[in-house]
Amino acid sequence: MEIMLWLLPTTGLLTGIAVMAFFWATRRGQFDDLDRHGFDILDDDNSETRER
Amino acid sequence: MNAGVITTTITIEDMHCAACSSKVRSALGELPGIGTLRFNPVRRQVLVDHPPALSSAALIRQIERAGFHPAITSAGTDTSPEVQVLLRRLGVSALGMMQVMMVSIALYAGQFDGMSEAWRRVLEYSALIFTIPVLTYSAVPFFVSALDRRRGMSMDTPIALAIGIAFSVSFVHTLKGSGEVYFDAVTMFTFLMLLSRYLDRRMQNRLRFEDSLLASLPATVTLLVNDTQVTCPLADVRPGDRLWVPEGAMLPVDGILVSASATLEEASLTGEADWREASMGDAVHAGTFTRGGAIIIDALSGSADSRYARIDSLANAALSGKHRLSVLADRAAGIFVPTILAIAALAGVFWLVFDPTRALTATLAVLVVSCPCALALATPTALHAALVRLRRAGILVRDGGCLERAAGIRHVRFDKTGTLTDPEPTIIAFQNMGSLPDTWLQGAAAALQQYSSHPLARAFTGLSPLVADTVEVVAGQGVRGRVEGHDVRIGSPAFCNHRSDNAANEAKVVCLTVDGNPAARFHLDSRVRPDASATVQSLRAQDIDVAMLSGDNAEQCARVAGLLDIEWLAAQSPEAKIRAFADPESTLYVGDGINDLPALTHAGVSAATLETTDLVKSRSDVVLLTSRLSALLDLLAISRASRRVMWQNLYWAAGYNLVAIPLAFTGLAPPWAAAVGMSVSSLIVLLNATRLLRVPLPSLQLGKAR
Repeated sequence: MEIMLWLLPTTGLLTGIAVMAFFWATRRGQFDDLDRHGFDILDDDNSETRER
Repeated sequence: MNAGVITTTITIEDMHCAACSSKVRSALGELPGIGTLRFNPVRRQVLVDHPPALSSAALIRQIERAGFHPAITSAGTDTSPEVQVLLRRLGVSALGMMQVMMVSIALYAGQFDGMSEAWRRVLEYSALIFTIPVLTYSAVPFFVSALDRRRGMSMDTPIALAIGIAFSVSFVHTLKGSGEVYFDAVTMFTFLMLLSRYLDRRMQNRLRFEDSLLASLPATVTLLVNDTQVTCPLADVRPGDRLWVPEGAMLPVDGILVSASATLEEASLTGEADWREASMGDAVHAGTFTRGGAIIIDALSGSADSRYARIDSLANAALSGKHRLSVLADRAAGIFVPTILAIAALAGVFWLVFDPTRALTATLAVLVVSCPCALALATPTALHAALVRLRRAGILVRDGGCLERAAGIRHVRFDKTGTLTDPEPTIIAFQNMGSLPDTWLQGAAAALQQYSSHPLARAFTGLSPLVADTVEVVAGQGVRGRVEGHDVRIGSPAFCNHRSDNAANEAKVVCLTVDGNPAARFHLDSRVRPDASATVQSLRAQDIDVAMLSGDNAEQCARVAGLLDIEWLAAQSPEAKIRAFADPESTLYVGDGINDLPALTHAGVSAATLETTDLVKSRSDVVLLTSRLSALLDLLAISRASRRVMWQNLYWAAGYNLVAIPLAFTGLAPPWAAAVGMSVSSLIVLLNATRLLRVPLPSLQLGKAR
């Protein structure tokens, strides 16, 4: 059971990293448009590259 | 993102199969400048790339011509910082909730299989640590809103109370090392409330509107002082000043025309598309556009006291009054929260007298059991489900309060032009007066009308144009040019040397002259919307009183009212429309012009049509995202269903508390029973609300019946 004393802080650390990654993703605007990109695979036109 | 390309998402509920999508594809393909189309058959949506010049309203009309029922789901993307912060709070609460649940499952297992005191305390402290960020970061908006005294008792009060009480009790129990902890409930509840709030915001923010009438006036004006032009700020214009207004600009103040003549577009004030000819000495109004070249006027008002500004302030005054009306949920919270606090206090006093050792536990038990979760969820979940359903039906609702008012609508008042009728005129009759073939005449007319900005010119876009050169546009009169070697003129009878036979109808007749000889006439009119009649009948069948209030003349009104068989009032000024309301609170007003603004804001519920300006949309409770008027029937049906569900949920929450609180008061409810009761009551409320997602739409029934 003593392994818990290691596991619990490790969970906390990983959660902290996850929160930081999530904040970074929102700042980059990755959640701004959730509908559009699902359709990109159906788009035949590969010539234009979309950048934002 | 490509410059100059807008992506609009359109939901087409009756697009069931591949054949349907190919019909929609070919219909949209006919529009000029249309870009990529992407279909999602599962969600019955199509994403359309189109240039800004092609309005989303035009897309909708094109799909409707193909026989479908489309609705705009989103235009553009949502990047407001406020929503981003909300998303971060949501993310933190989600991650926090997962960790707390993991620890809590170990604690549940410990309850059944046994667990040493020391390990139990370690786990409780871990849950506490993971809950703290959720409480201090994610749940902040609820506390801020609950503590904001200006807002009084709102739905955020029980939410904040639920989170606050459950956390405080658990915190005390963790420090004491005995008693139940509810960190899992705290984090999950916060997460669910934030999730519903985030989804709401995403939906509302998709469409943003320019919302100040006065902001659309020019910032500076050109004054004529001793015949020299001086630029000065709009605010400095005083009555008596002489102003020079360029072609195509908006008049900033009311005044008297000094120039010999002027052509004015007054659509924003009167809602009527036809241009008005004014001559020297006539009154002109702020908010109208000059179309026949630059003009000079003498100001009769400053910018802040023009008729335009008065319409704006009338609209504003009504809006601020409307938002004070509290919604059902807030009223329920106002009664519920003080009652619970009083009962908890009573329990404390009761046990202090009879058995002081149980006082704290019993007081906390009352607070936890009565956990306002079910009550806090009762109305927001129903509202949210109803708003989602309405969005799918092509109706954007700006706030939940108006949904409650919509459920009690007894009167419906329509504007005429652009609301009951199509906003754009169409050619209803063509008269060939010479020997040239019809197709050539129509092609020549379409070729010249491409150059005109006159509202009537838009009726010609459906014809296939020939090629015209040396084109000259004479503002307010017509267009002349050469088509395949012939001199062609199109425009008013006077401009084309046509004999005018019927003075009253002249405004609606467009004449065509080829090489100086009268060649053809086009009779234009705005048609009644295809589903207007069925909508009016259906409203009347629901015992709702329907009437039309128009700024147009009696003759035009009588024609439209005759087709629809409804009562009407003609020549109504913006101010008069308000006076025509029998009972504003239970009136639904449907309009599209700036002249409708006072009426829209004074009505209990106001609806703006798809084709109107952002300004009007921003002042309306409801925006129809489809050009079908029958969407109003959906609005009424869904709002009534949501009112029913809200009451069911409130009764359920109250009933649950009537049983649970006495048990907690007497100390009979064990902690596990309280926990089960809390989750089950919340779950039932949630499931009941989801029924709203499946309310059938009366407008689709209407389509089948015909």
